[in-house]
Amino acid sequence: MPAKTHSLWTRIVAVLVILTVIVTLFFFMVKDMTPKGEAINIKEYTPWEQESVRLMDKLVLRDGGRVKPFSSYAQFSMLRLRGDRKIEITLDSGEKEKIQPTEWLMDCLFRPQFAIEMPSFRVDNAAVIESIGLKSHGRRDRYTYKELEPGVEKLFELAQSYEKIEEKKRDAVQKMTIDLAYNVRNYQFIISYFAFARGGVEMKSANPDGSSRFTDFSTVMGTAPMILQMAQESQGTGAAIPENLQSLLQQVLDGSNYAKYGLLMIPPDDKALADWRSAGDRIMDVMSGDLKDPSAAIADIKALESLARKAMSPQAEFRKELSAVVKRFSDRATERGEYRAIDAENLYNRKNFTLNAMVCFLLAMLVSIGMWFLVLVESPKRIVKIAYGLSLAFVLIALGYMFVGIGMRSYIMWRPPVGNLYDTIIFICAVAVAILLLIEYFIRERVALTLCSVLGLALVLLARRYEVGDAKDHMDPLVAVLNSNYWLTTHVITITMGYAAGLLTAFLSMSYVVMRALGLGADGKRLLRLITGAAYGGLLLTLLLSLVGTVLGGVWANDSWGRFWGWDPKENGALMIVLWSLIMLHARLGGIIRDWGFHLASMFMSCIVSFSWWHVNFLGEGLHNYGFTSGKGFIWIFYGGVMGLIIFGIAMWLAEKIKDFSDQANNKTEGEQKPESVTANS
Amino acid sequence: MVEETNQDSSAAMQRRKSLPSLVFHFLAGFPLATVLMLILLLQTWLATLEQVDYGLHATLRKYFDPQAFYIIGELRLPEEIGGLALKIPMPGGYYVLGLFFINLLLGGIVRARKGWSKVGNLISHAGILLMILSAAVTERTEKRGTMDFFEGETSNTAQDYYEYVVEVSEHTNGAPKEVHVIRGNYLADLRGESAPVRKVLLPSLPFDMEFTRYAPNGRVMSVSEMAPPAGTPVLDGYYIFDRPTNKATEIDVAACYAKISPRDASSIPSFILSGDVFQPHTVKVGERTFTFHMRKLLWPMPFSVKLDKATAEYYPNSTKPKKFESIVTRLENGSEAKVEIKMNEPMRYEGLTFYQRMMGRENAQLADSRPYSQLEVVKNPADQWPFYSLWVVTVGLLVHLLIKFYVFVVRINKKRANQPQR
Repeated sequence: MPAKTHSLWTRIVAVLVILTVIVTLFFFMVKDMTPKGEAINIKEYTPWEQESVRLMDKLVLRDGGRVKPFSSYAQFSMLRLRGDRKIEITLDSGEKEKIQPTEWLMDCLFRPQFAIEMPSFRVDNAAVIESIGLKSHGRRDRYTYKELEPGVEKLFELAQSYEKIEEKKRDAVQKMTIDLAYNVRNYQFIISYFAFARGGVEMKSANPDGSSRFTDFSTVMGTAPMILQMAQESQGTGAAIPENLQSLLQQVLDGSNYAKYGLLMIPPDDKALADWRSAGDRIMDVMSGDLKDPSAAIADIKALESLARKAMSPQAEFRKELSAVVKRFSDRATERGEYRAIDAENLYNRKNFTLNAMVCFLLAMLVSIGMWFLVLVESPKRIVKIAYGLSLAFVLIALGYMFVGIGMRSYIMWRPPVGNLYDTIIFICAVAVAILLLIEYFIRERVALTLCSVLGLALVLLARRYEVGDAKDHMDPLVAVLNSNYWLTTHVITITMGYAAGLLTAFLSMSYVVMRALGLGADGKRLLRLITGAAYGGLLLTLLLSLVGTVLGGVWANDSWGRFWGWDPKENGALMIVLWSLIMLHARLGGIIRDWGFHLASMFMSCIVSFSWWHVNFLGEGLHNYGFTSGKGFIWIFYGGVMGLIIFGIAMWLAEKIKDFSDQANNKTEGEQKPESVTANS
Repeated sequence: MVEETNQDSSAAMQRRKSLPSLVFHFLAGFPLATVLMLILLLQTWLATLEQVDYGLHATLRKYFDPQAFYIIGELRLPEEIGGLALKIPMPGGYYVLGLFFINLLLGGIVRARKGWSKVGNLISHAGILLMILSAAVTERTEKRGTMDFFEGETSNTAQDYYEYVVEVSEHTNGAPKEVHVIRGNYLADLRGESAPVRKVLLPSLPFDMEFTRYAPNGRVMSVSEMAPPAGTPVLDGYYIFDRPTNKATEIDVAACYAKISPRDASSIPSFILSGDVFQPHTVKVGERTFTFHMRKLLWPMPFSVKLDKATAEYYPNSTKPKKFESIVTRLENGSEAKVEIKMNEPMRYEGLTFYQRMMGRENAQLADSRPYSQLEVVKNPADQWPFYSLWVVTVGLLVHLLIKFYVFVVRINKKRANQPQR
């Protein structure tokens, strides 16, 4: 196993492999952080002051089965529609302004005249736009509601017809058309939510001169008993309801219907009731005569009316009304015990832990690359040590961000940290990096530290891209069968740590292959042995965690579904990891594979882990199915990359074999010639 | 020279090995273990992919049927690259697992090196043996069914998940006397156009029965609804339409053609039996009245269960289930016991386990209509064995890992100590 015996070409290929990985990660990160599309100008737009935004974030609402702050709702609404968390616009002054989710949703609710000019809709296929009779910008782009509005009717019509096709048989354009129709429909509800407050109710012929007068919904709600009585009297006598009353009732119905869906922001004042109400629900609760004491409901609507009407006023005035609304509803939520983690969640949303971790991992990776360059050019050890320390510091900070983020999520959700696929990504990232740091502590050869940054960055990027693709709030509560803190702590965490161990083992082996090809390290032989030892340990850990996690899952399944093993794709995937670990161990013990074979097989472990962790979700089968399809292309790229690296490893192994063979042949020739010369000499 | 001598003596030793010794070494060897696990891995992977197209039950029957000595696995390539289905022949999973058990027993326990450094290995191997054994016991003995009842109702029977049976009983004074059960498994091979006629002797009754063309997912169709395929028997304008089985086999509804052969040589027309028909078929044989009913197999419980309260709770403003719970009273020999059965908290009693499976209402549209609960009932003597094996394997692997870790750290420290300061 000689070090530094490789040809220039071998080293070039190995360096190209490393650079490809780094450039790919860098590309995805830059893409992740760059706002999409060109900044557009919205005339007379004034940005929301941060004080107003912070106050708005304190407003709570019920969504996805839990109570959450406005900031979370805004974030996922924006992700779902736009596939991004920011919009860049140009103000009249020429300054650029980045609109964040809370501001975007505030505009949608309170200043729809600006909101409809923002490119809020992501359309990934121009055919969808063209099919509704509009002109597309390009293959994939973002559109404003104003641009889409002329084609909305056609869009709904097409979506309705596509929904009749069986889901599995729908093509990409049909699926996107349906998604866009849902997004547009939801958007219409959001921008019309406060229409009741902005427009009020037209009281026909209410003035003495017979002209109309406008009044508030809350005022109309105050007269609900009288209106109901009039309507009942008309029905009782069989006479038609008077025209002005009919018009009033129709306006109330329309206003409440627009404010009925989404944004369940009003906690019920009756503690016995669990369901929160939207503004529309609250209006109808009073108008239908369902409430014994409608005063609280009328006051709720009055507060919302006052707030909506101050949207275009100076922001201090708006904040005064907003503050009253926030206090009103948050006090009620607090009394109901439903405001526990709202401040923590706002802090979590503001601090953006994964983004910060991503930046730190990137810096650590760049420093690590520099460090290896310094090692290669045999720079003074002191400089290498500084680079090492810097890289370690960045990794530690990133790890800190990851663990604090995971801890905060756990506190907010009030359950163990892993309960859905998004949780698994960040958890695997943190655990894998922590174990790699531990390995680095023992072997102190810079390899594991470098892997920390590469693997950490890759997994954080995956988490962020998955979040965008899935666009779902991953802190929503779990369904009854999963809602068990005992099993979430034991089975789910163990199996997830098994994935982390499997991935880091595969990455250690990748580094082995690349380093053996490059001949890196002052004492290549020793370094390679250390990596092999660490990978072997990683494999044992993978086996232990995966096997225990799998069996724990079986025991859980036995308690919840009545069978230990159901051949569910997720269970099978976990079994495959166990089997592959055992195959590797037994093949090595039996002398079937040696170092090269072990590391090539170990790299393949990353494919098996990915299949089990990620790919099975695309199959759409089984009880663990999360039912998503985003990232399907990515997994094939990953498989392709790993297989490419395995082929590269096999080529290196064969090259070494050939070289060894030719060296042996040369030595033999020399050995055969030597006695002759000795004889000659003698 | 020395090397050559060693090789010679080793080869001579090999030659001297007896046949049983060679067989033992083969069965206990690492190569066999590796190959068997590779096959199991491949089968697990293919079964995972195939269940998408063929359903879980059918896939498992294919891969792990004791009667399947070999199987042809199918790997369907992605549609983007043609969607071709590659056929991969391999031995049946049942036998691979059996051989693996032998290999593990001989290689992992009998032949394995003993000693403190290997103790973890031995323990974990023993744990896996117990796990495979529990799978075998489960496969051979497990019974699985459901118990459905509304609030206030009591039940002492469970309905089998898959198996349809034919119940034959004589009715006197409007009530069934003795029920004779003809198992569906006995009729399952009477498939298709060329299905034979199977005679079932019923000595205690005045007739025997004949069955043919059993359809595991048959639908009784009227000829006016759809013309029958050629060669299909039509009785009173109806026939059995042999549909493909569902991916979820438990929702299949069986049907077959039946005929009564009275011993007094009288003739009674053939009839169709179907699991879809709620009312039994009634036939008079002489002066006696008999009913014939095709339904899922019922198995009696050693005790009764009364559903006191069924609670289905959902997260507010959503349809996401939060809690499913059945409060039941177990009634046995005049004694009563209250038990709560929840998701993840089954009731285990007298070798039976009751799991919370489904909840619903008599009329799903009405919030105040009678709630019902469906419990899954499982009888499996090896129910808790995997749990015990889990502990054994965990302890074994932990011991092994800690020993390896200790050796790794000692080796590193020794090397560091021996290295000159760099």
